[in-house]
Amino acid sequence: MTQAELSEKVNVSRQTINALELGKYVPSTVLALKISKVFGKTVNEIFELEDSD
Amino acid sequence: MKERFLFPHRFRNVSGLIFLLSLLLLTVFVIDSDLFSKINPEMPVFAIAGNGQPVYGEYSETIILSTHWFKFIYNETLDEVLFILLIISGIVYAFSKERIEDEMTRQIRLESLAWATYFNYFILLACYLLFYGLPFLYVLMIAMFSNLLFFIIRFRWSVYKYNKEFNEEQIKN
Repeated sequence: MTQAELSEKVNVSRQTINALELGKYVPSTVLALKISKVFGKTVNEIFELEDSD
Repeated sequence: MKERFLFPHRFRNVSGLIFLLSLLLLTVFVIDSDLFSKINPEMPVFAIAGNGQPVYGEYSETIILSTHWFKFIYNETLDEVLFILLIISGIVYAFSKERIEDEMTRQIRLESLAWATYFNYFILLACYLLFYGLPFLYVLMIAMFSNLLFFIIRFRWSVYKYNKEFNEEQIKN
Protein backbone atom coordinates (compact mmCIF):
# COMPACT_ATOMS: atom_id res chain seq x y z
CA MET A 1 0.00 0.00 0.00
CA THR A 2 1.31 3.45 -0.87
CA GLN A 3 1.27 6.48 1.41
CA ALA A 4 -1.32 8.03 -0.90
CA GLU A 5 -3.67 5.05 -0.63
CA LEU A 6 -3.38 4.92 3.14
CA SER A 7 -3.91 8.66 3.47
CA GLU A 8 -7.10 8.43 1.43
CA LYS A 9 -8.43 5.54 3.49
CA VAL A 10 -7.95 7.33 6.80
CA ASN A 11 -8.83 10.82 5.54
CA VAL A 12 -5.59 12.70 6.19
CA SER A 13 -3.04 14.33 3.90
CA ARG A 14 -0.10 12.41 2.47
CA GLN A 15 2.14 14.79 4.37
CA THR A 16 0.65 13.53 7.63
CA ILE A 17 1.30 9.88 6.76
CA ASN A 18 4.83 10.81 5.76
CA ALA A 19 5.43 12.70 9.02
CA LEU A 20 4.03 9.69 10.91
CA GLU A 21 6.48 7.33 9.23
CA LEU A 22 9.37 9.66 9.92
CA GLY A 23 8.38 9.80 13.59
CA LYS A 24 7.79 13.55 13.38
CA TYR A 25 4.12 13.40 14.20
CA VAL A 26 2.31 11.38 16.85
CA PRO A 27 -1.21 10.46 15.71
CA SER A 28 -4.34 10.92 17.78
CA THR A 29 -6.00 7.82 19.19
CA VAL A 30 -8.70 8.08 16.53
CA LEU A 31 -6.19 8.16 13.68
CA ALA A 32 -4.15 5.32 15.20
CA LEU A 33 -7.31 3.20 15.46
CA LYS A 34 -8.27 4.04 11.85
CA ILE A 35 -4.84 2.98 10.60
CA SER A 36 -4.98 -0.23 12.60
CA LYS A 37 -8.38 -0.98 11.06
CA VAL A 38 -6.99 -0.52 7.54
CA PHE A 39 -4.16 -2.98 8.23
CA GLY A 40 -6.36 -5.35 10.23
CA LYS A 41 -3.95 -5.27 13.17
CA THR A 42 -4.12 -3.93 16.68
CA VAL A 43 -2.72 -0.49 17.44
CA ASN A 44 0.03 -2.08 19.55
CA GLU A 45 1.29 -4.04 16.59
CA ILE A 46 1.74 -0.87 14.54
CA PHE A 47 2.76 1.75 17.10
CA GLU A 48 4.98 1.48 20.12
CA LEU A 49 6.23 3.77 22.86
CA GLU A 50 9.65 5.30 22.45
CA ASP A 51 12.19 5.70 25.21
CA SER A 52 11.46 9.41 25.41
CA ASP A 53 7.71 8.93 25.89
CA MET B 1 -13.83 14.86 13.97
CA LYS B 2 -15.65 18.11 13.28
CA GLU B 3 -13.77 21.20 12.22
CA ARG B 4 -14.92 24.01 14.41
CA PHE B 5 -14.18 27.70 14.00
CA LEU B 6 -12.67 27.31 10.52
CA PHE B 7 -13.74 28.87 7.22
CA PRO B 8 -14.08 26.89 3.97
CA HIS B 9 -10.91 26.41 1.95
CA ARG B 10 -12.29 28.33 -1.04
CA PHE B 11 -12.17 31.58 0.98
CA ARG B 12 -8.43 31.27 1.55
CA ASN B 13 -6.84 32.74 -1.56
CA VAL B 14 -9.24 35.62 -2.03
CA SER B 15 -9.05 36.67 1.63
CA GLY B 16 -5.26 36.43 1.49
CA LEU B 17 -5.23 38.77 -1.49
CA ILE B 18 -7.51 41.30 0.23
CA PHE B 19 -5.40 41.08 3.39
CA LEU B 20 -2.19 41.84 1.49
CA LEU B 21 -3.78 44.66 -0.50
CA SER B 22 -5.31 46.37 2.51
CA LEU B 23 -2.06 45.99 4.46
CA LEU B 24 -0.20 47.61 1.57
CA LEU B 25 -2.72 50.44 1.20
CA LEU B 26 -2.77 51.05 4.95
CA THR B 27 1.03 51.29 5.01
CA VAL B 28 1.01 53.81 2.17
CA PHE B 29 -1.82 55.68 3.89
CA VAL B 30 0.12 55.95 7.15
CA ILE B 31 3.27 57.12 5.37
CA ASP B 32 1.50 59.69 3.19
CA SER B 33 -2.21 60.21 3.87
CA ASP B 34 -2.46 63.07 1.36
CA LEU B 35 -2.03 60.58 -1.46
CA PHE B 36 -5.55 59.26 -0.85
CA SER B 37 -7.21 62.58 -0.04
CA LYS B 38 -9.54 62.25 -3.06
CA ILE B 39 -10.94 58.91 -1.91
CA ASN B 40 -11.02 59.79 1.76
CA PRO B 41 -14.46 61.32 2.28
CA GLU B 42 -15.31 63.14 5.48
CA MET B 43 -18.45 61.59 6.85
CA PRO B 44 -20.58 62.05 9.93
CA VAL B 45 -19.91 59.19 12.33
CA PHE B 46 -21.21 58.38 15.76
CA ALA B 47 -18.39 58.53 18.30
CA ILE B 48 -18.41 57.24 21.85
CA ALA B 49 -15.43 59.54 22.20
CA GLY B 50 -13.63 61.47 19.49
CA ASN B 51 -11.94 64.63 18.37
CA GLY B 52 -13.19 66.54 15.38
CA GLN B 53 -15.85 68.92 14.18
CA PRO B 54 -19.27 68.06 15.67
CA VAL B 55 -22.07 67.53 13.15
CA TYR B 56 -24.58 69.47 15.21
CA GLY B 57 -23.26 72.74 16.57
CA GLU B 58 -21.21 75.64 15.41
CA TYR B 59 -17.98 75.35 13.52
CA SER B 60 -15.05 76.30 15.67
CA GLU B 61 -11.30 76.04 15.31
CA THR B 62 -10.75 75.31 18.97
CA ILE B 63 -13.56 72.79 19.43
CA ILE B 64 -11.80 70.31 17.10
CA LEU B 65 -9.26 69.48 19.76
CA SER B 66 -11.69 68.84 22.58
CA THR B 67 -13.09 65.38 23.04
CA HIS B 68 -16.75 64.85 22.21
CA TRP B 69 -18.62 62.14 24.06
CA PHE B 70 -21.52 60.24 22.49
CA LYS B 71 -21.88 62.68 19.62
CA PHE B 72 -21.95 62.67 15.84
CA ILE B 73 -18.72 64.14 14.51
CA TYR B 74 -17.10 64.44 11.09
CA ASN B 75 -14.34 61.96 10.41
CA GLU B 76 -12.23 60.87 7.45
CA THR B 77 -13.27 57.29 6.90
CA LEU B 78 -10.68 55.67 4.62
CA ASP B 79 -8.55 54.34 7.49
CA GLU B 80 -11.64 52.79 9.13
CA VAL B 81 -12.57 51.05 5.87
CA LEU B 82 -9.03 49.76 5.38
CA PHE B 83 -8.79 48.52 8.96
CA ILE B 84 -12.11 46.67 8.75
CA LEU B 85 -10.98 45.05 5.49
CA LEU B 86 -7.62 44.16 6.99
CA ILE B 87 -9.00 42.56 10.15
CA ILE B 88 -11.83 40.63 8.50
CA SER B 89 -9.75 39.33 5.60
CA GLY B 90 -6.91 38.54 7.99
CA ILE B 91 -9.17 36.50 10.27
CA VAL B 92 -10.69 34.62 7.33
CA TYR B 93 -7.28 33.96 5.73
CA ALA B 94 -5.69 32.85 9.01
CA PHE B 95 -8.54 30.48 9.84
CA SER B 96 -9.45 29.05 6.44
CA LYS B 97 -9.15 25.30 6.09
CA GLU B 98 -6.18 23.85 4.25
CA ARG B 99 -6.88 21.85 1.09
CA ILE B 100 -6.74 18.74 3.23
CA GLU B 101 -7.47 19.78 6.78
CA ASP B 102 -6.51 17.00 9.18
CA GLU B 103 -5.26 16.59 12.71
CA MET B 104 -1.69 17.50 11.83
CA THR B 105 -2.67 20.86 10.32
CA ARG B 106 -4.75 21.38 13.43
CA GLN B 107 -1.69 20.80 15.59
CA ILE B 108 0.48 23.07 13.42
CA ARG B 109 -2.20 25.75 13.67
CA LEU B 110 -2.37 25.51 17.45
CA GLU B 111 1.41 25.62 17.84
CA SER B 112 1.67 28.58 15.48
CA LEU B 113 -1.04 30.43 17.39
CA ALA B 114 0.76 29.92 20.70
CA TRP B 115 4.08 30.93 19.17
CA ALA B 116 2.59 34.05 17.56
CA THR B 117 1.00 35.14 20.84
CA TYR B 118 4.28 34.81 22.76
CA PHE B 119 6.23 36.54 19.99
CA ASN B 120 3.67 39.34 19.65
CA TYR B 121 3.75 40.22 23.34
CA PHE B 122 7.51 39.97 23.46
CA ILE B 123 7.74 42.51 20.63
CA LEU B 124 5.07 44.68 22.28
CA LEU B 125 6.98 44.74 25.56
CA ALA B 126 10.13 45.73 23.72
CA CYS B 127 8.23 48.49 21.88
CA TYR B 128 6.79 49.72 25.17
CA LEU B 129 10.32 50.43 26.32
CA LEU B 130 11.52 51.85 23.01
CA PHE B 131 8.70 54.11 21.79
CA TYR B 132 7.43 57.14 23.69
CA GLY B 133 4.92 59.90 23.05
CA LEU B 134 3.15 60.22 19.72
CA PRO B 135 5.28 57.62 17.85
CA PHE B 136 3.84 55.09 20.29
CA LEU B 137 0.55 55.52 18.38
CA TYR B 138 2.18 53.67 15.46
CA VAL B 139 2.97 50.79 17.81
CA LEU B 140 -0.67 50.68 18.94
CA MET B 141 -1.85 50.73 15.34
CA ILE B 142 0.36 47.81 14.36
CA ALA B 143 -0.53 45.97 17.57
CA MET B 144 -4.16 45.87 16.37
CA PHE B 145 -3.28 43.19 13.81
CA SER B 146 0.28 42.05 14.58
CA ASN B 147 -0.79 38.88 16.41
CA LEU B 148 -2.76 37.84 13.34
CA LEU B 149 0.11 38.72 11.03
CA PHE B 150 2.71 36.79 13.06
CA PHE B 151 0.36 33.81 13.22
CA ILE B 152 -0.20 33.83 9.46
CA ILE B 153 3.53 34.03 8.72
CA ARG B 154 4.42 31.32 11.21
CA PHE B 155 1.61 28.97 10.16
CA ARG B 156 2.30 29.31 6.43
CA TRP B 157 6.00 28.80 7.03
CA SER B 158 5.37 25.63 9.08
CA VAL B 159 3.05 24.20 6.45
CA TYR B 160 5.59 25.05 3.74
CA LYS B 161 8.30 23.29 5.75
CA TYR B 162 6.22 20.13 6.13
CA ASN B 163 5.40 20.13 2.42
CA LYS B 164 9.04 20.61 1.51
CA GLU B 165 10.13 17.72 3.73
CA PHE B 166 7.39 15.63 2.17
CA ASN B 167 8.50 16.45 -1.38
CA GLU B 168 12.13 15.69 -0.59
CA GLU B 169 11.06 12.36 0.86
CA GLN B 170 9.07 11.58 -2.30
CA ILE B 171 12.08 12.26 -4.52
CA LYS B 172 14.27 10.02 -2.35
CA ASN B 173 11.89 7.06 -2.65
